[in-house]
Amino acid sequence: MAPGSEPVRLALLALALLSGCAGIRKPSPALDNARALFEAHRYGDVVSLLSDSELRTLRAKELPRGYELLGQSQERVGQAQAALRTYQSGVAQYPKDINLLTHLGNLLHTGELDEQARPFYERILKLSPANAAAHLGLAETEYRLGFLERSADHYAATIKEWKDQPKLWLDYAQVLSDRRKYGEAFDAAGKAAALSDTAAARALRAEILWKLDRRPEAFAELDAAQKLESSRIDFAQRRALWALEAGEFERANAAAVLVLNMKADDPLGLWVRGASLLRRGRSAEARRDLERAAAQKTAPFVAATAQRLLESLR
Amino acid sequence: MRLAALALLLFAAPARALPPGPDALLRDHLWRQLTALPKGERPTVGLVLSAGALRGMTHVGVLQVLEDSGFPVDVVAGTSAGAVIGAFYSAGVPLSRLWDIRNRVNLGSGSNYNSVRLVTLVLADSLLSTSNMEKIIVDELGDIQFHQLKKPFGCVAMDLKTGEKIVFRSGPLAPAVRSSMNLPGIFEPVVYRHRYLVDGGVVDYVPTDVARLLGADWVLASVAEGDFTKFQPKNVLSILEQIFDIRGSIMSREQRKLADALIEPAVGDIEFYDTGRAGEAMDKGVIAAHDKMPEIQEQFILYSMPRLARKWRPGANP
Repeated sequence: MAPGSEPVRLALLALALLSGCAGIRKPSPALDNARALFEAHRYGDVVSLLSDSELRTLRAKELPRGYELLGQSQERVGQAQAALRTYQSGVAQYPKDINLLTHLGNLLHTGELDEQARPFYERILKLSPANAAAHLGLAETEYRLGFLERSADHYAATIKEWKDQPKLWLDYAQVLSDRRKYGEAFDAAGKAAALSDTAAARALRAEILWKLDRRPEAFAELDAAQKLESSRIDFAQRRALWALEAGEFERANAAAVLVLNMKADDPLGLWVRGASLLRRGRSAEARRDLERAAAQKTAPFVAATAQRLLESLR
Repeated sequence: MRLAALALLLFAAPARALPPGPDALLRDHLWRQLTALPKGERPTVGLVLSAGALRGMTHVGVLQVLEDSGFPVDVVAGTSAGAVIGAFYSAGVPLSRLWDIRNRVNLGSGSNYNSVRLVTLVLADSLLSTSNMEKIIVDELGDIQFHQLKKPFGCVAMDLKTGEKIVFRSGPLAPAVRSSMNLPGIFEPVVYRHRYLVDGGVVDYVPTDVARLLGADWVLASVAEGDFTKFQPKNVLSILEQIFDIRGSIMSREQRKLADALIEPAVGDIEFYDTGRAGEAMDKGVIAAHDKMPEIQEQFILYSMPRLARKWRPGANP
């Protein structure tokens, strides 16, 4: 068939028409510009660009992405309320857009509005049952609200998708530990430590070992955690409490002194030293430490229990 | 979308947020010490489950959190819906089975209510019956007596003839629980041991006194109160419900002061027989109990400090 002949022209015309019908069109300039600004971290400019009137110029298929860019930019410049409104508008118009649902759920969750966040994550899972982001959102919201079993199930589903995230394994281990499934919790904490040997992973393993009554190993893990983050006073405090619990009062006293060296007048350091002195029959010295602990306003529960102990000494 | 989710990992509050502070560490330590004490050496804990009709399902959520945290419960007292849940719990029915109730609750569960139109209710001489509730308890637990329960349990009803509060602590369980949840004006009184018995919520909405009678030193009450300020009159039943809610609220105000700790799930807007919201009521119980648990643990620890201190005298066992 010769080029320029009538059939060829008709074929080319048909092709052009079909291309138009298939929507092969360039994105709107506003959206293109917004993307470029976003990638250049110029979030304030994105917010200025994507005004209501500008959003109205976007095509229907592009609008969800417009909302997404605007919402994320608003979040990054500290306009959380505006971002919330943007995502809510987007979700109202596009109730099945998984990206918008995820952003809305995440924003509510980070704002500690977990009961409000849950339905959005649940909606995502109805649309896409294996969606790891939604499972993660639910894992965290359910944990915060107190639904430990549900949280654990969602962490397990998330981990199926993202096996190599140490923080996920660590959070999963914490939930399992709270459910008193210590064997599984220890394994999960071990996976976290294997992926990334952090003080947090070691400390959680130590806690779990303590609950399993494997005390020497627990102390060893806690020491390892302290080596990784030597400034963590809570590790030293925990060591002191554990020594007290184990009936090793000299060791508890020494551990409490270490706490007080890290922070003078630390209420828990004073409490443990006082309690260990009490257990060794040195009531007068115990009283001095407990009186100081009872006067601490930064730790009201420590203070209140110290006061009760003092009352029992009378 | 993976980026958004990973951002959640980085920016959102994770399961393990900040390092635990001194109060949390000490609470954890003392909680272990306290719950390790044998029953006779620590205070006896009484759990009280209030009335509340469908709202009372919230107690299941509360029980879940108590179980998760290893909270010791020695004796149980309940009124109306609290009596039903309390009876199953005291009998040792697994909580997973109680959670299943949300899938099975309908108006016909304990009565023949769902097939009766309201006009028939108003005009008819005969009221509805809660005999099905007795059947459910017997089917689930057998023809069990109070002394066969795993935990001591008591529930409350009222004698319609004398106005007396009747506390059940012995004998067959099923008729006692049925009497306790027998709303007057809707269900016919239960004739039992020469008494005409109706719902105990009319005289004792939060039975803290019954828990003390059972030997509790320290009482934790779960209170499922309605918010009567949101009343919208719809029909005769809604007016009856409002009367119960007002009376319950007035009684509850004084009775809750007798408890050492309270859990108050946000179920005030759930109506008496709004069975579609049973699951929500249970979830609200979890949320409220979880939120309050650190505070409640601290209260119980502080109450128990004298007993712990006695153990710590020189020469006492660790």
